[in-house]
Amino acid sequence: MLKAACPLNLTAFCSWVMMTMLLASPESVQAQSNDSVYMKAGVGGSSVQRGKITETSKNGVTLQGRNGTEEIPAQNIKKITFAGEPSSLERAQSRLESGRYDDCLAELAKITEAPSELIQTEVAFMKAYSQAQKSLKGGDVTAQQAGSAIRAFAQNYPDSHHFYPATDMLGQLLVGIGKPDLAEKEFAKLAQSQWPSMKIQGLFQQGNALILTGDLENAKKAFSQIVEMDANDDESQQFKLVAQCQIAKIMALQGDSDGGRAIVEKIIKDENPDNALVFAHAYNALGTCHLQSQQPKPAAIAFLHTELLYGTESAPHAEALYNLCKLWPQLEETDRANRARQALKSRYRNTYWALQL
Amino acid sequence: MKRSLIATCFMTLPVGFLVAALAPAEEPAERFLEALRENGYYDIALDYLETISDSPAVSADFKKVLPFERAETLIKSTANIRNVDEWEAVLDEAQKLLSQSAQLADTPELQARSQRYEGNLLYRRARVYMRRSEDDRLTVQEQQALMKKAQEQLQKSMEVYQQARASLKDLISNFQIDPDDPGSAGKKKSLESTYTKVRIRAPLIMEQLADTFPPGSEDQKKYLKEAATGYAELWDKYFRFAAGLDSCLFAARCYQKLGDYDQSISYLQEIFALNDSTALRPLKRKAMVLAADAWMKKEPYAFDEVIANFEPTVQRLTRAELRMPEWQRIQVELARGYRKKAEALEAEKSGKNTGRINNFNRDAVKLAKSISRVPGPHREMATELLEQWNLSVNVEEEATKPIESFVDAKQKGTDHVAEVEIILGEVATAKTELVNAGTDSEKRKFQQELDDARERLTAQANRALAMFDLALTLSDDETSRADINSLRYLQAVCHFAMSNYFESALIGEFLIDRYPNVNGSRQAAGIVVKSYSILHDTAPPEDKAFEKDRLLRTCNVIVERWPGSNEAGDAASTLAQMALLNKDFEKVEKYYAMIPAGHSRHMMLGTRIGQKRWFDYKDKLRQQETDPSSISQSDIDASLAAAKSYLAGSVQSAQPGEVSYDLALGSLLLVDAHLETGDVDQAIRQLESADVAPLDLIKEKHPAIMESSARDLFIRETFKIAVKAYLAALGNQPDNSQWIDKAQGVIRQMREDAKVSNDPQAQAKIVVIYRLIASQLKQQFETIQDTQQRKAFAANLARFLESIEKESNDPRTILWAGSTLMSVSNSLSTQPGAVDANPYYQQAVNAFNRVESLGLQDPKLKTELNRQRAMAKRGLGQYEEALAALTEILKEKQTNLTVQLDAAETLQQWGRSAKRSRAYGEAMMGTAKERDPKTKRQVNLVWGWRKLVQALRDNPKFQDAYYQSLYGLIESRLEYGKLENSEKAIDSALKELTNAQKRHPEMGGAKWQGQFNDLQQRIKQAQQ
Repeated sequence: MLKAACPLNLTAFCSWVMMTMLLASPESVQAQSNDSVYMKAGVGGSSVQRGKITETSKNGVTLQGRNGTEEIPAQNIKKITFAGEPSSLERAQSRLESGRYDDCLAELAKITEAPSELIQTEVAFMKAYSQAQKSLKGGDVTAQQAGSAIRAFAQNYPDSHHFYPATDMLGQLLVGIGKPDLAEKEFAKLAQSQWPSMKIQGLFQQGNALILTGDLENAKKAFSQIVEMDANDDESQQFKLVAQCQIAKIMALQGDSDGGRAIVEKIIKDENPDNALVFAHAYNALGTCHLQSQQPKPAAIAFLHTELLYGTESAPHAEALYNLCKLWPQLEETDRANRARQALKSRYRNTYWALQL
Repeated sequence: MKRSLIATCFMTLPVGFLVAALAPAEEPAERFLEALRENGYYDIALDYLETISDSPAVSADFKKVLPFERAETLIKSTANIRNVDEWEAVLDEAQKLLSQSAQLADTPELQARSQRYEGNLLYRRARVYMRRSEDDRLTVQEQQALMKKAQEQLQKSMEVYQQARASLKDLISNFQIDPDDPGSAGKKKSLESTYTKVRIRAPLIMEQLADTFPPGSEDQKKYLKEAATGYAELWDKYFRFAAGLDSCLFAARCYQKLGDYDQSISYLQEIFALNDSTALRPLKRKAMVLAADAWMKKEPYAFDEVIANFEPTVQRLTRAELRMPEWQRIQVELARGYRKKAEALEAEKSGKNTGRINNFNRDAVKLAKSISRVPGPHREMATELLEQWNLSVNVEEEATKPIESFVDAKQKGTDHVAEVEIILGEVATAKTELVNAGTDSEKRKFQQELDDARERLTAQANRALAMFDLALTLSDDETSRADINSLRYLQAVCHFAMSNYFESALIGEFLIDRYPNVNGSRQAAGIVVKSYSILHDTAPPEDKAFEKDRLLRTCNVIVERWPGSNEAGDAASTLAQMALLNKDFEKVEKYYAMIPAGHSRHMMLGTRIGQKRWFDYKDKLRQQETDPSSISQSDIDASLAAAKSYLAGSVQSAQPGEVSYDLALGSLLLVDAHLETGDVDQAIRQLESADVAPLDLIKEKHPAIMESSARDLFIRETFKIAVKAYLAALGNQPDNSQWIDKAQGVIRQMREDAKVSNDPQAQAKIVVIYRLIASQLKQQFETIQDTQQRKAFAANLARFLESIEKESNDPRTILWAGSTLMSVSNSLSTQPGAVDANPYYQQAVNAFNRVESLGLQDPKLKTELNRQRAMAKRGLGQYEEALAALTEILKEKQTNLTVQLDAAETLQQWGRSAKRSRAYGEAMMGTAKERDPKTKRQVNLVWGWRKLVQALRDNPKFQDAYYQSLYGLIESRLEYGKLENSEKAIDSALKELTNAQKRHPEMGGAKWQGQFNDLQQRIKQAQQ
């Protein structure tokens, strides 16, 4: 358990001092005396809870407020602002939320000295997370560099409420450098989480990593656990469908293409096609079924669905592009293969699929 | 101003998202189909429509519209078709589909859909007519007639779109959103989106209509104004949509065509104000090109606007974008802007702006130079600007800062490599200019330029290498493998540029073997292939094994590891060429299929494969002639089909600007291949009017032909094949004077070329062509079975040859015309369904008489003339005169075998025709007695069949003549026996035949065996 250091205590009567600091120092600090925990939408109760964070763990934070002490689960937390945090941290947070990772890192670079250990943890996480996102999105950070940063964070701050997202990110980066066996071990940690959505995410990613290692039986078990989970919220329902798609893919890889196709075609027929995550995985699974049945053209058409309609889903999109790279030459469409290759290389440079080219 | 609204709208959402959001949500099939079409996957879209027709996953509603969607897919696919005939054929197919499906349009929605697609069909048909009118072979009237048709189609298209618009408007206004149907609102949005797409059609059609009128005409202005107003309305109303943004650009385009540059620029400024999202980049690029043209024409020149609008974008261009023609145009204009700005500052004469003036001048020169040094459509413009400015500015001048890190050193080295690439372009240009230099002074000048460029290249490449060495010493554990590999790749580039091919190959191989999955390795592999290719080509013939082995190994690695990439295309091309050298066509096909269609070597390699397959086909034909059992007909047919397919594929995909000698030759061989398969129309189209048409190339004196060392051969072969094609087109039409005129035209051109040619053999070569044409005509004639067709063909041919004969004073040409007539007349009179050949024989005699009157110097030709004339007279039944003429020839040279055979044949025909037994006797035993000056004994000048048989027996060299004589002898005996009722003679004929069969069981092989068997039957019948 990490004890939070005492935040900088600024009082109202010192406001003129504050103003002086703002003018004199290149790095200003927030004029707030409490830590604020912002809750995710849909979580009952107040949207912001204020007080003093006294402890943090993998599973959440402990907040000492006016009405006593409260344990806030990590899964409910949208973001935290800390008493006495530099204004750059808030700006960095805002950049991070809008996906402007370079700008986020630029803001973080301005924070030369963190006023507290909690803020130091937050800065370390945001730096590692931004680098990891840049790497995954094909930016100028290699997967190794990002992986080092995120692993360092997980090792140095094992009691941060960011531990699981950081572990998830580490797993994804390991997949990106072609180490699905190592990634599977990271995702397994998520699957042990008390945090339901992280548990599903962990099982899902674990299953995907196991497919890549060729351990199809265990992959199937991971996906089956998702399907059989006793949860009915929207997110769980969605993952259950995606898990079924992955099971269909495994069936095809194990030689039962017809069985796999039947499952995935039913999903395509019954579900709302606006559900991009499900449909991207469904069409990729359908493509795999056709591939395993030596039907390159229907396979290409299936993967093209993901490429043209569900390109917003980056992981299945990269997989579809990879398969199209391999399929187009078989259909004597080398120009199209080239285009798919360029798209994969440029948009998903640091992914497992780009690495396979 | 709506910029801010749009800027917000497009800040986070790409255009595609907006379109997708408006698309119907309930049907992935329709959305997928639309996405396929938007991305140009028309073939897949058509396949997909086939596959979903019985899919349970697709709704019944969508299945109902499948024929319409198929038609629309076909219509839209014409955007990818270059050949206007094919384009029209696809539209015909689409029209057929729309007509067939008309009865399915039983709801207002389907009717609107059908109307939309029909409107598009008419619009594209108009484009077909407009494209056809661009053919400069057409007369002005023909071009105008086509434009008229285009206008009619556009007017109809407008009417149909108006109906579609009205239908859609009704549908939208009557649409009731069903609260219980979640897809209901989406459906309405989809209809509204379709409505905007239909609305933009009206100004598009107006603008197209304007293009059908002459530039500057009142009609053109009227339609352009209407189009501009229409676009402006759309822009006002739908500025949040992609169609609205396009309308803004198109409105600017119309105003520019009208010469209203201010108005045009005001619309373009709206586009420049949008944010720099990737989705909007193509639109901005197009707008900037339009603006560049507008600013260039506007007075006074708005340099501040040019700099303000172009500079931020140009500074962020990627390396690939810097080379794109459209971005190059924008860069040239920015260079002009800088210079104009400098001039304006100079004019102020304030003395305070020297630094700024220098900076603007340096930027202007730097930018213009970078464009002028690489091939591209705007190179000339940039060069002209530089000459006009005549500025002495050192663009290399830059602040020198110390290199302290790997990144800095690598970046500096990379900058040097960029310069290396530019200098490489200069080396290539200097080489071309040196090759084309006419005078010695030009040659010296270009050689000097080439030497200078090479010297600078070496210096620059060495600078880059030194910087890379420094970078490697500055690298540490933090330096990524990818960065080091990309540096290694650039090292390979530098070595390659300096012709250090072993070094470049070695570095590249290291990357492929050790780090195949790291960025840069694939590009390095390309360098390895190029390096080993050069080393292989330059190695001594007896010592190429190492280079060949490394080259094949690398190429195979590349095609397996990076299929579809440019490098794999290079590698597959190299492998295909090596397989081609060994005539291993299976491998050639395999590797050729791996080369992307747009790859730089695709077309040329296709041409070479086509040529090789054509010559292989010809070899096989020869082989079949020599030994028919050694090769199957299907094998020969396959070679011809492959040759045709490769030649057509490559020649038809070529752009006029890509014409090379190889491609021209490919086109010529394609003409021949079409003739070989009887596709005469296609042959003539390819010959005359294709994008790469051999006759056209000669007519326009294309440098690819004129500057080739094979120029004369190409021209001669083209003329020969052209005559062959025109004569083939004569066919069996009763009157086909156009082909005769064209063939005559080519022959005339051929003769004129020969006159001015420096080649002493030119005339003789033409005669060879004449002979070939005659032989082909004979073959062609013999393949016609129908008597009427034979007559028609003969009549056409006679007219053609008569015209040749009449307009020529060249004895050889006239002799050829007469001989060809003879050849055809013989075929006419001897083959089944005999036709009266007398007029043609007489025409031949007249031609021969004319040759005699013109005078022939060559004794051999004189003899040939007399022989041919004798043959013509024989054809006319003037046997006595024919025999006398032949005897005269034999007086000069009794051993003239051809004439001896002709004389014996003449006597036999005389016997048969006049029922003259004496003639039969003389045919067998000889005639025309004369005293031999040596032996003083009486001898027959005409030997007759018997002596010919004796003389030729057992001489393999004259085997054919021997069997001809033997046949003549036995047949003469038989016919004599029948004429004189002489059993003895008939028995003797059989005996002669039986003896011959015993002596030579093979009886002359396939050619003669059948004839002797028939003859044996005739003898046996006569004996009964």
